Amino acid sequence: MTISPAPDDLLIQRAKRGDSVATDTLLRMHYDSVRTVCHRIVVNKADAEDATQHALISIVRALPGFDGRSKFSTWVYRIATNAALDEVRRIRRRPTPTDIDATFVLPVADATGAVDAQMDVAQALALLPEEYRTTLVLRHVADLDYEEIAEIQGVPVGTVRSRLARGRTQLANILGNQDTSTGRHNPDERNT
Amino acid sequence: MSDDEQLDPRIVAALRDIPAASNEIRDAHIAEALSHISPSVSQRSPRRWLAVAAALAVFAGGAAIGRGTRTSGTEVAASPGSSNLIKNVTPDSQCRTSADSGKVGQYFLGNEQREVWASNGLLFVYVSSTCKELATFTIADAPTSDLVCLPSIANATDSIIGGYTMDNAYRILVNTPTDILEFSGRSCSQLTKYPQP
Repeated sequence: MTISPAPDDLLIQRAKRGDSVATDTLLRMHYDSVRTVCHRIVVNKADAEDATQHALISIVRALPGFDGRSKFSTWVYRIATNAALDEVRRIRRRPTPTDIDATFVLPVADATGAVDAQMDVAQALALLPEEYRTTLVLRHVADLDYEEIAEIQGVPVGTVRSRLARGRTQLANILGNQDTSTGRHNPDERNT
Repeated sequence: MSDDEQLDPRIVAALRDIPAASNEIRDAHIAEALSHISPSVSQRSPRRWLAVAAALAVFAGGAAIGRGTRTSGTEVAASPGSSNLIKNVTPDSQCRTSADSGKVGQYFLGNEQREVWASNGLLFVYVSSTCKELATFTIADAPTSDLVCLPSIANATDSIIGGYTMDNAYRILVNTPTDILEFSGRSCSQLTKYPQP
């Protein structure tokens, strides 16, 4: 019996072949990332959990086709984002309104009181247009660079830039013009 | 190209701060996803696939060993400092119900489905259909290791039963026709073997 440790590439190769242990390990490694993206895009807690489940299933089903042209984490984020956006579309088709009470109620933030409550941020994010919200999440939650976001969203890098700028501005406005920026302004802001 | 300075770090922190999923939700999500693995992509023999699939469909119960798992580089850390075992998540098999028991996994020997549980330093092997206890083994000592160990299976008759964490060591059990092998550690070395009951 040949024994070896479990580097990422080995895990991916095994998972692509249907190795349940490797797949299980990969899913656990990326679970929090997938879930965070889903919760920030979908907002409603129960729907976000559904999106997380769909994303994980999509990852398992698509794994055999992962070709390694992008980083595995980027590939995972793309699937998570698509699953979250699919969930948002499903929600739109539902006759019942989103259950606002089911959104996360997060604890009050730091002792300085600079951010009154993280709930404010979550709610503010939820009020942004979908494309801005998604772009902000991919940039500031998933830590992806512009090129990766552009690849996931299927838009030019310039569009990513403008969406980020507009999203930040709107987020700041919703939060009551808190000091969310350094004061630098993007020309695109005038167009919002 | 960095623009992070344009968004208040406190807001970024708030955006990233999602309450962690409970272990039950995480395990259920992953178990459901694993059930969608297509047998057609497996290069294992059909019989071996059947055994592994059956065993690993419940891997979230035993191998949820890795629950709370984090990765750092190429290393995968299992639940640190824990001698607690993961609760059973398979509703159709409850050969042990005590809170300090965890189902490691199940496997086939011939046509007989068996399951392995761990509790209080012991491994228990049961016949799944009757819960008849076939054997009890004292779990071997192992060096502390927070790395998930993935032994390569060379023989078609072998299959991974599942994994668990005990005494700060992540362990994997492998079924062979004659023994149950236990692996652990950075080098995924074989700790011991228990005779197949």
